Amino acid sequence: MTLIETLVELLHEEGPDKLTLERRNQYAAIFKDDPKLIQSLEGKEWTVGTSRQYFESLRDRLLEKNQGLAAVVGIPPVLQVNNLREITSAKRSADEHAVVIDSFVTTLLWTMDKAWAYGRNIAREEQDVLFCNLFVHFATLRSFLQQGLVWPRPKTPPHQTKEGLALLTFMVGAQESFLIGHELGHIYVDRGGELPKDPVCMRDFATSYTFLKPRDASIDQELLADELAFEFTLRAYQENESLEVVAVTSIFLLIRYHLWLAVICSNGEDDRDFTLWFGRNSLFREKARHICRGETLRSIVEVSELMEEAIEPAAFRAEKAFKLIREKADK
Amino acid sequence: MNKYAVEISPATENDIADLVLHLSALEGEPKIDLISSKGFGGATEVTLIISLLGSPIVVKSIAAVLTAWISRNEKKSVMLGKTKISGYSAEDVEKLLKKIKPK
Repeated sequence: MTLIETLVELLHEEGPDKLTLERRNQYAAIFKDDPKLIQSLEGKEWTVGTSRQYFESLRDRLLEKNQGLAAVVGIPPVLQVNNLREITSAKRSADEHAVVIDSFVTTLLWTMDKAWAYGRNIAREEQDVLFCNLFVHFATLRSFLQQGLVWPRPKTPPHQTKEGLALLTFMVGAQESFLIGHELGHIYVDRGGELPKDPVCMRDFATSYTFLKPRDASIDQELLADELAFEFTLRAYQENESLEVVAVTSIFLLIRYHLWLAVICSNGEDDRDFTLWFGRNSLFREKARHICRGETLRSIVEVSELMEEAIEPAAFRAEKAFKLIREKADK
Repeated sequence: MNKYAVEISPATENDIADLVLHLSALEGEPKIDLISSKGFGGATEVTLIISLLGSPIVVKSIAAVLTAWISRNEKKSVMLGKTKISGYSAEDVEKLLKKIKPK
């Protein structure tokens, strides 16, 4: 076992990893003709290798579709750690690099995307309440787990069709590819890979956070890794325009979820988190404008308008609720 | 062999060189491995993996070294498992270390 695999085992926290009866029944209704598939969705006892195969298949697609990338970054292992702290990280020990994905982000993406993709079938008021509760849940999970002040996770609409489940799986897979691509981007920079000649992230418009505070070198590093990740991921889905549209809009959703969470969790003193996500949002829009096709760009504008209409009001209500919980936590 | 993961942030390997030195010099010479980490949220972190043969005396000394280092580095967050141990007494840290099951 490598040092980083040992770390992942040490950080692992016990948690429920079996399907609930309710979820099992939803899958059974969709896949009644395929009992083997249901069994495969049942879940297994957690080990370092449980999710490794899946995440490494996403990594392999990125390496395969980006010529020359593997020559610089090698084939770093991609491990999932079952705890609730970070999003993803690039880890380096004396003799290896590895990508580690926290279960917090995989749960967040699956749940928020499910509410987004299936939420179109429920009334607007219900969707609004659902998103507000989801934001408060994830904000408190991130901030007050140790104090035991975690807002309960609301129920999301059930799985009903194969097509819906396929769309959801694809959306989350594209977002996870982007996260893995971001960490590969850090390794690529660390190992002296050739950088874009005129990186978008270094232009003034993308670093619009500079009007908020002096330029921050660590934010610049993150935006450069994002720019590389965006290109790596786009190349992995570019063969098919429909897939490209869903992949790019899914990455946009990932950034927006976190931007809103940063707004909700901001304490008004240290706005670095908000600044980072705001910079990411600007970078993403500009990058998409430069390299995406017309259909993809139109989708981004549509998704952006829909999100602002459907989710943003819920995020602002969640901010007020979170402040009340923070006051309780501070006492 | 008992192994413990101690996560320190924000930190680079240079920031914790003195801590590594003190831990390595303890009785039983615990093995200290370092893993640096750059998070998607921009956080830099170093994790120490402390490996030792389960002597209760060494666990007590580790707790004392950790709490002394924390008191000199108040702005660093130090996590042992899911517990942030900044502000804990050496006795409390020792109890937490003893609760961790050998892996």
